[in-house]
Amino acid sequence: MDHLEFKLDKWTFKVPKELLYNENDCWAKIDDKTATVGITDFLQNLMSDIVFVELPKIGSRVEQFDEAGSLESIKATLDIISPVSGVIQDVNSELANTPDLANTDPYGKGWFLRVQLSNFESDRENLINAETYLEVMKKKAEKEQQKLKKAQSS
Amino acid sequence: MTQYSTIVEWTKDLDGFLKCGNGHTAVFSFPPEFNGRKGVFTPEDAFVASLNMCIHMTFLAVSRKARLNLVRYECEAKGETESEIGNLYHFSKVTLYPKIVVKGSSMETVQRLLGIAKKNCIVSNSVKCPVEISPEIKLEQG
Repeated sequence: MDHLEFKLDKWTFKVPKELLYNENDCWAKIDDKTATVGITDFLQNLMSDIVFVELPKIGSRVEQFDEAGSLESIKATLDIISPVSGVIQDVNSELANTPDLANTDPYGKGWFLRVQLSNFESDRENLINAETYLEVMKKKAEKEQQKLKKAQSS
Repeated sequence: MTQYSTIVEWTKDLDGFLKCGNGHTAVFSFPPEFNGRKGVFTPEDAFVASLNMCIHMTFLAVSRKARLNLVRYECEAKGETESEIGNLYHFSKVTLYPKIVVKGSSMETVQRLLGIAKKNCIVSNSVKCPVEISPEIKLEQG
């Protein structure tokens, strides 16, 4: 997968060029009328070790920017914000026993959902490409780093 | 940054009195092999116990997040010491032997959660000697 990357201290955050993103650090891979959804490398790094993933029921409906499950690490609990609208066609059942796949392979084996798209033309207008997401992510990463430095110095 | 404080005070002979920031107090001494007395807390106990307690607490936190159905957790920790030239003693290794019983999970999951607990344990991250975990895991039907 051809990708852009951003390095900050010891971290390297990868952003595949072929995917679409929302600003909530979730990606969508569009394949005709279906989207595969997951979290970005930046988010998995921020969360650190993911120990639990809750996914929606197959057949349920999700709207763009609605919660489509949640994930927990020792550091945080976070909602997965769906980048697309539609019907949940499939979920990654591997994540029940090995939620760390979202850490080790966020753009591959660590995928979360497959959504049968219902309104992609409209959803597309609210999604960003890899270049734009990289800039959004850079700002977030730098903000996180500043927060950390501030906490360490206070 | 969070700070944790303790106060120690000399009481008599080779005894001291410990006041922890969280309110706990304890009499302490050297271990018997260094002319201390039996039956009281020692700095060596505190070192090994801090690792044991911290990994225990971190494992509980991780287990809760992972929805692990934990039935039992009991852990003996053993700290080994070595002396260098000049009789400078240090801990060369601390090994934890947790006995864990869980319902409806797998060996791999428990091992993974123990690894995450060790990685995220503030005390384990702060000591210079190796910390090893040698678990005995028993699975019960969920």
